[in-house]
Amino acid sequence: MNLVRFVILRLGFVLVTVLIGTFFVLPLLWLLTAPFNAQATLRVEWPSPFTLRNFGDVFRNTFAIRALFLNSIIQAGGTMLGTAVIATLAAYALSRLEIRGRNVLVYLLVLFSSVVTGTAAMVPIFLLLYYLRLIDTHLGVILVLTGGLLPTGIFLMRDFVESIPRSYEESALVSGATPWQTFRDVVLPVLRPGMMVVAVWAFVNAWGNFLIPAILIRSPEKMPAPVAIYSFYTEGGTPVLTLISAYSLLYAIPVVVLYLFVNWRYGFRFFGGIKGGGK
Amino acid sequence: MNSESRENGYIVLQGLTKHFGLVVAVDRVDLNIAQGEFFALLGPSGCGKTTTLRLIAGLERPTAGRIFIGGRDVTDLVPRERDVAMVFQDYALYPHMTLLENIGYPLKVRGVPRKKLVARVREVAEHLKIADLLDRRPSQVSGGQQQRAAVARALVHEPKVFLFDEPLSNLDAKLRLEARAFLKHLQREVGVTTVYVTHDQAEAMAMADRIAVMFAGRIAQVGSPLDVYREPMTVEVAAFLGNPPMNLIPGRLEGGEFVGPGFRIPLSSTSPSGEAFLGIRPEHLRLAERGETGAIPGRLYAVQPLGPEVLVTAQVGEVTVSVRLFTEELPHLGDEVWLLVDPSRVHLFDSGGKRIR
Repeated sequence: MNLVRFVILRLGFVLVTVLIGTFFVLPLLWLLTAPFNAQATLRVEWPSPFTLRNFGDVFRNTFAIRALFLNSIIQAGGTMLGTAVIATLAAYALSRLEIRGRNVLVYLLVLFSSVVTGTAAMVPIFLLLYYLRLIDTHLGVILVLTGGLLPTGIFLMRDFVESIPRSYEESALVSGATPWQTFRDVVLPVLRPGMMVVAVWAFVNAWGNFLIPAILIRSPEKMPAPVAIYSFYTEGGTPVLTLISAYSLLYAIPVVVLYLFVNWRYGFRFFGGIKGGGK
Repeated sequence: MNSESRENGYIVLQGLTKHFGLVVAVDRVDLNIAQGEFFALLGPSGCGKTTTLRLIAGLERPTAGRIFIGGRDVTDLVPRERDVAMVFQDYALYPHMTLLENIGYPLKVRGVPRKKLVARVREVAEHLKIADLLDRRPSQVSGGQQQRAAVARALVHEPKVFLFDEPLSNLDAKLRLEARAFLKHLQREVGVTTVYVTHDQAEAMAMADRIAVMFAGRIAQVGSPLDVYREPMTVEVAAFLGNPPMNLIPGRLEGGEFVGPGFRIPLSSTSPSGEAFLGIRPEHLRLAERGETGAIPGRLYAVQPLGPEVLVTAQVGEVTVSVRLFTEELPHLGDEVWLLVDPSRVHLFDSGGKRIR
């Protein structure tokens, strides 16, 4: 009797899992098959006839390629750098200095971070950047995106900083190091895996952000990929599926490569802690 | 308590006080530590001994008082200007550096050229028998080896003062005994003034030239291990030193006698009458025959054979009394036991816990 029950439960579990899995895998399968299909539709099907011409067509769209391999890299890369560096320094300060009400401060920051880059703040942000003369600049996009990501970035980094025993820094100070040497030689190397997590997270967020650059960037030669993808729509507004799928595949590659690199080099973890200090 | 003048001390603490908010961690501590001395700060956790050490290192700023090292007022100096070295309880070896880089770090920040640095690290590491581990990471060596590496890092730049913060507490019992002897030997050899913080009275007694016993931020007593052991100035010190600690039996002083639960002990000197504690170390008690004069009656609680000695515990009135018998044979004991004290080894404390004689 128990065996029957077990088999039924098992079967039910597998069925539900497969259903959920299918739901998530189908779009990915489409992304992997459609770019090689000369007559791609919204259905997942074996490419027939198989072709690489879609990629050729995409690469002929210099506007879209420039957007992907130059503008997106600049904007997402800048945001990644800014967020990782500032979040690390801020988290270190927030963890190590006695600041009255610092916990409240951190939670407030995280709470309001969604507002900063949210749709609701678009008008003030636009005005602010207008007066700063940062409309239609990479720097403007980078600053707004960094500002929006920082609170959560600081929050993530703080966990890593808190996991470093203070005796590391204290022993360096007693050993004769200046505070700056202590940070550079002892704190920063131990924090590097955490910085990498925050960096990749910031990059992915900036890479996929449509709203900010769509509003702040005016000239086509500075638009990033999420905006430029609209150049693969017909004038009537219908997407050209063959080209969009090919462009999307190219668009996904840097993120996957970055993730694989960091995972190989540091190992991904979203919590602090020191285990042997990486490879 | 502390009659030496400031000139005698290599490390001098004057009225050293540290408050954390409303908590007084260190309370008007005065100490003179001689050059080359192995000095232990002993006390239960939270007594302020580690804070005192951190004040000497410069990791905490005192609320009041001054600190002198080698005649120089270092109270307002940052750690790196004090030329001290500290070994932390968790060793604080940097996980991303090899032992070579770890041990060489104090030299690196002093701008010592790489070649000289490596040579000096090798020399120290060879001395501490970890030379073949220098290219390993801290996580790749044992706890005892990590401890040696931490000591090597303290040794490498030849500081004026060693500060140890419970460096043996993360080692298992067997390694701890080894490390004790090793550290004591090493300190004698290099002759650097050492302040050693521990809550383990055996460790302090075994290693230190002098001990300061701390309770609640204050120093209760300073002296050589044997002086503090033989003549504890307060009940707290008496109860903290020794394993098992001194037996303390409450009673009264009356006409030159100590009157306890069911016994009277005549005292050689006359003392004022009143409530008092009789203190007697377990090794200064012996078993007596029933009804022997001056014998303390008790009920047998437990007999623990420890190998070279037997530990007998008995209930006397409200308190438990331990007796150490240096015999390998288990005594045959009934339910009732009689304990005889060696009158010359008796300690008396008044009701406030202060030593009477």
